[in-house]
Amino acid sequence: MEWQYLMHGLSLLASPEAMLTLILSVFFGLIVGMLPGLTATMAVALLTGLTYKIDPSLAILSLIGVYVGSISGGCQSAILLNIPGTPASAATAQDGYPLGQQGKGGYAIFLATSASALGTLGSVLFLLFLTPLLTGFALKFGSWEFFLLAVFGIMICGQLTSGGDALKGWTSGILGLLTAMVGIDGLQGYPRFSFGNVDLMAGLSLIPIMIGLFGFPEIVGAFRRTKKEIGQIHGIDYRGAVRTLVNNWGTIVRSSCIGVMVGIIPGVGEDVGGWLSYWAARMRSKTRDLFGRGNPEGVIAAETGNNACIGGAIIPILSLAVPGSAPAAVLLAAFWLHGLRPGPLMMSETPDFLYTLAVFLVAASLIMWGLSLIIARYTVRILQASPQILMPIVFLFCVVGSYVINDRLFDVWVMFAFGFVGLFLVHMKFPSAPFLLGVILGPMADTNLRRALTLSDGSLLPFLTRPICLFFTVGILLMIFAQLGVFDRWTTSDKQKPAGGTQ
Amino acid sequence: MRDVIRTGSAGEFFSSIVLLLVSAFVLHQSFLIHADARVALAVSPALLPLFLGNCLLVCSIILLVRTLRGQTAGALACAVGEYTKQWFQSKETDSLRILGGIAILGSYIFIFIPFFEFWLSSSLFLALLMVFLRAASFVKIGLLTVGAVGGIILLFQVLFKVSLP
Repeated sequence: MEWQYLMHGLSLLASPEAMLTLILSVFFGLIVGMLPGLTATMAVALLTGLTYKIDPSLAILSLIGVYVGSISGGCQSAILLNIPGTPASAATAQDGYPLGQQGKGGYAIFLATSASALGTLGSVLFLLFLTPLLTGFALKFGSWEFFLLAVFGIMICGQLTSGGDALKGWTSGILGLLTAMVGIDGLQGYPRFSFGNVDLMAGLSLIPIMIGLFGFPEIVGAFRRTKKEIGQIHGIDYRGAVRTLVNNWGTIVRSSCIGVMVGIIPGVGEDVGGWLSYWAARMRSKTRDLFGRGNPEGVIAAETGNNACIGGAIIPILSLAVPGSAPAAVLLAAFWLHGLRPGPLMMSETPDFLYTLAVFLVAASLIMWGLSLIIARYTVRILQASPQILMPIVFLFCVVGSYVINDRLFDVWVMFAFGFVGLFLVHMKFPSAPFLLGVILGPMADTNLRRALTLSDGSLLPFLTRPICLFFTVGILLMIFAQLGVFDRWTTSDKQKPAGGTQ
Repeated sequence: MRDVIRTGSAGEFFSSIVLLLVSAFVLHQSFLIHADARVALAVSPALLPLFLGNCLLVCSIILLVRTLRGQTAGALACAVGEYTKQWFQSKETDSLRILGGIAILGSYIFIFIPFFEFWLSSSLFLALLMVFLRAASFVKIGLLTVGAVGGIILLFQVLFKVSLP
């Protein structure tokens, strides 16, 4: 443990300016997470644009605060409205809403908030332990490995975020990669898909794309008339809630591990972490029958799992420059914008950054816990805010956030155009996360593939002869074969064999 | 092909046609780039776009094939038309509110911002959209507009010293 780096991280937090920034950003994140329709990805993307011109350490601190706050804030609307504020809290609603209906809304919110904080804190331990290990491993990566890592990441993200229809996830990823091809290419300076337009030659900025992709569909969705029935919060049984948390320590540890592992997988987000943790808790629980009817264990598992993804999703960012989830992808773009270069060399060039992030995450989760409990009393009022009032104002922020990156109106038009792409993807049931990952990893895939082919004189053999490449190649082929039903036929024929054998 | 080929819908038919057109465009442009770059394919700037264009073509064809399973292209085209007609006519979809709202968003970006100062264009936009959505009373909309635009200008232009559109 490098204590001097931890002390450096703490010293960054020590100023009143930093603490105020953190409190405000966590508060903003909680409100965004609470309000159905505003996602964590959108919040981080929006704030990336808005904090572009402030001090980098304060900007990163505010983004971490918003990330932690928004993932956690979603539980409150899941419990009171049965509408998850963010997709990450979808699993929380399964048992949180029944608890709310039983008049235990405050108790459920306390459990969910505490579990969220514990999940984030647990993931920080993994972050500190696994990042140096993975970074050391990433130093063995060459151009071939980086190209295959990008393809593997987009494919696995497409597979896991598409709700069983991997073809749509992969298509979305391909569209994202193609978007990244616009502009002057990194090796030969050739302007691709630019049509003589100077703005297009400069390439499409990440932030306007992200804001459009994730924000625009939510804004347009709010134009519909909606009715909400909100539960009420009565007195909170703090003693009972603490006892429940202590009794479920095993669930917390297990869900933290699951959340971190899911977070590490490229592009697979907090929602999957929440669901998998919930599923695991249900499978192992002694009170399995109570799941779905207001079992506190379900709330604890889902919230620990989704928040543990935060630290998990940052691990591949720092070691491989590959984001573990959609909000983490925006965080990676923000790091780049502020001149930080996460990747295999990070631990040797800027080792303090890992520890600074760990300190920021711990502080954000503690502040999130305190703030959540304070504002829980006012949650009902916040949830009553009309989306028809809120979303036009959010759109103003989208415009400002897109504009300030390069001070050009072209980026606002890009945001608007990709808003329609986002609408198309949502309406046609294509996941947006692989698209975003494609945009992020496109330049890495492009330059590394061509560099690798140059080094091997155009030979594709290294795909099979280099051990790490072979691992990725086999993984990619397995995913494709699985979708083609090859393994289904084997398992079906295996199941049929005994019957056939007896005859 | 369990997951790849499955029962389709009007939406999938429409999206597969759109993707087919996009892949054709990408492939056409990629060939032009490769011809213009005059380098070997292995290092050509068209290499990845060509590869991706082909992948997209395959994906869109599979999507189209599974959509057409047991149905004719004509019937699906009719279904797309019927779906569009229903979307415009049904009160449940709030189609006019959505289209009107998008038109106001577009007007703000392409007409208001380029021709007016930020404070004026944003105030006009906010008031217009909230009135269109019947979000609140006129007085409340006025107060919200002044508060939101004033707050943004104070925060970004005055405190952060950021230039606004």
